[in-house]
Amino acid sequence: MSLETQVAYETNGPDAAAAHTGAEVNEYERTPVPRSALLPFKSFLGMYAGEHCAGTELMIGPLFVAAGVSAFDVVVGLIVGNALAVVSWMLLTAPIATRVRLTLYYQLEKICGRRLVVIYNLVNGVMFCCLAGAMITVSATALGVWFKFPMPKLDDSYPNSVGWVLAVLAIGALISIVAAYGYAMVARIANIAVPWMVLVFVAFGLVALRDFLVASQTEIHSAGDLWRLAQTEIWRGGDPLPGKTKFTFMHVMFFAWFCNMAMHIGMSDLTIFRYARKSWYAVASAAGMYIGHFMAWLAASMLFAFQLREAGLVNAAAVRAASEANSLPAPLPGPLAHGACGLAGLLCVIVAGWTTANPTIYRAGLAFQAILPRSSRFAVTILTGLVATVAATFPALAMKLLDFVALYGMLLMPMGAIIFVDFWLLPRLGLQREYAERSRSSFSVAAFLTWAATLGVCVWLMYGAHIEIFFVSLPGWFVAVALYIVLSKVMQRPVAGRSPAVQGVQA
Amino acid sequence: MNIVLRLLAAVALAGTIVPALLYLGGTLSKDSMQWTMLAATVLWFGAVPWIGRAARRAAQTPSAEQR
Repeated sequence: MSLETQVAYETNGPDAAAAHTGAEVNEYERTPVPRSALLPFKSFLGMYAGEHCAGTELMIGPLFVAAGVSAFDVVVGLIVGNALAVVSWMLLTAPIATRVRLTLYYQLEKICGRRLVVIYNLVNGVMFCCLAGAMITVSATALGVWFKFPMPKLDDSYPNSVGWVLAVLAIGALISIVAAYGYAMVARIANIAVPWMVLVFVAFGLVALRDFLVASQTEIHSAGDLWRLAQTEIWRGGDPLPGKTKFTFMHVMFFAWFCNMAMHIGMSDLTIFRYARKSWYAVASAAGMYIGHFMAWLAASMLFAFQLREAGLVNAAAVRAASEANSLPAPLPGPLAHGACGLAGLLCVIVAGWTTANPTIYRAGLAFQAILPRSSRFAVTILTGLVATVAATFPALAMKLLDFVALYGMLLMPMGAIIFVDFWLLPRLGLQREYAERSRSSFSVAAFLTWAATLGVCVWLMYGAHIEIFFVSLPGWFVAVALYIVLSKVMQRPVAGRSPAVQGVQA
Repeated sequence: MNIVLRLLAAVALAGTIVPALLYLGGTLSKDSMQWTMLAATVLWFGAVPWIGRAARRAAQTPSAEQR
C-alpha cells in the first residue's frame, strides 16, 4: 500500500484512501505501525514533492520581492533555510517517528491527555481554516483575470469590491462542497496534476527570465552574467514596498526553516514518518523544500519582480509616488501567471489553489470533528469551508501570508518540544514518559502551562523585546524544553507500572 | 493502449516545458508558447487519468492461461 494511500486515510478520510486502492485501509490509529506496513523511500519522495508545490507558493514568492530582498539574501537564504528544515525533519521528527510509530495525536494524548489534545485540535483547525482561506484567495485571483473585477491591493485588509467577494464565495463554496462530498476525485486530480504543475512553475521562471533579458537588453554568456542580472534587475534589494517588513538574509533563512515548523519541530509529521523503514528517509523532505520552497518561490517572485519593473517601480521615489497615488501593483497569482503562461498558467493557479485547499479544509474539519465527535463529517467540513471562505474574503490573510505562516509555526511549536522532551530527556532525568497515560489523566497541567507560558514568552519577545515574529520560535523552543522539564520535575508523582526507561520500536 | 497513453503523457510534459525553453532562447514567440502549453495541458489531463484505468482493467482481465 502506498504512503499516499495511508496518509490520505489518516489526514483525509477513508474515501480518499479507497480511491487509491479500492481496498479496506488499516489506519493504525492507536497502535504502532507494524513492520509489514512500512514503506520504501520513494513513497516519501513523491509525497513531499507534491505537497509542497501548492497555491500558496504563488503568493509567498512575490511577497519576498515586496519585502525588498536582494539576490544573495533570497537565493542563499532559501538554500540554507530549506536545508535547516530538512535537517529538522531528519534529526527531530523521524528518529521519534521510527521508534514509536504512532500518530501525532495518539502520541500527544499519551503525554498530554485527551482534553489538552482537544485544545490542540481547535488551534490546529483554526489555523488550517486560515491557510485554506489563503489558498481560496489564490484561486479567486484567477477569476479576476476572466471577469475583470477590481482585485485587492497590497495594503488592503478588507474586501474592496463586490466582484471580489462573489468570486471568493463562489470558489470557496465549490471547494467546500467538493471537500465534503467528493474529496476522492479532487485528491486524484491533485496526484495527476503534480508533475505538470511543477513544470509550469519552472516555465514561470523561464518566461520571467526571458522578459527580464529583453527588457534590460542583456545577454547571458556565463553564470556570472546571470548572477549580475539577478542582482541588478530581478532581486534588487533596497527598501520594501510600503507597509512591508524588510527581509534580510536572516529573515529569508528563518522563514524557509520555520515555514513548516508545525510539521517538523512541531512533530506533525510523526504521522508520516511512522511508516518509514529508516529514520534517514526524512531526507525525502528535500524534494518538497527545493522544488516548492526554492524553485517555485523564486519563479513566482521573478514574475512579480518583472511586474514591478514594467510599472516603472525601480527606485524608492517611483515606489513612493505609486503608493501615494494608490497604484502599487499587488502580488496577485492569477494575473501574474496569466501574463507569463496564458491559460495554462491560469489553470495552474486554479488547480494549485484548489488541490491544496481541499485537503486543508478536510484536515481542519477532522480536527474540529475530534472536538465534536458526534457531529457528521459532512456538516463539519461544510462549516469549516464556510469559515475558510469568509476568511478568504479579507485580503489581509493573503497579503500578510508571511506573518501568518510564522504565527502558525509558533503556536504549535511548544507541543513539538514537549514530545521531544518526553521521548529523549525525561527518562534520562529520572522522570516518567507519557505521564498523562500512566497517571490516567485527561489533562496534563505541566504540558498546558508549558504551552501557554512559551507562547507568552514569544509574545513578550515580539512586543517587549521587539524581535520580529520570524525569529521568536527558536528561543521559544528552548524555553518550552526547559519549562516542561522543570514543570514535570515539580508535578510528576510516582505511578506504579512500567519503568520510565526509553521505549519504542526500533527501526 | 497503456504504452500509447504513457507516450502521450510524456509528449504533454515536454509540451509544457519545451515551449518555455524555446521562448527563453528567443526562438518562439510568447503567443505561440502560451498556446502550445495550453495544448499540452489539455493533452496531459486528457491522457493521464486513463493510464491508471487501463492498467487496472488489464489486471482484472484474466489472461488466456487463466481462462
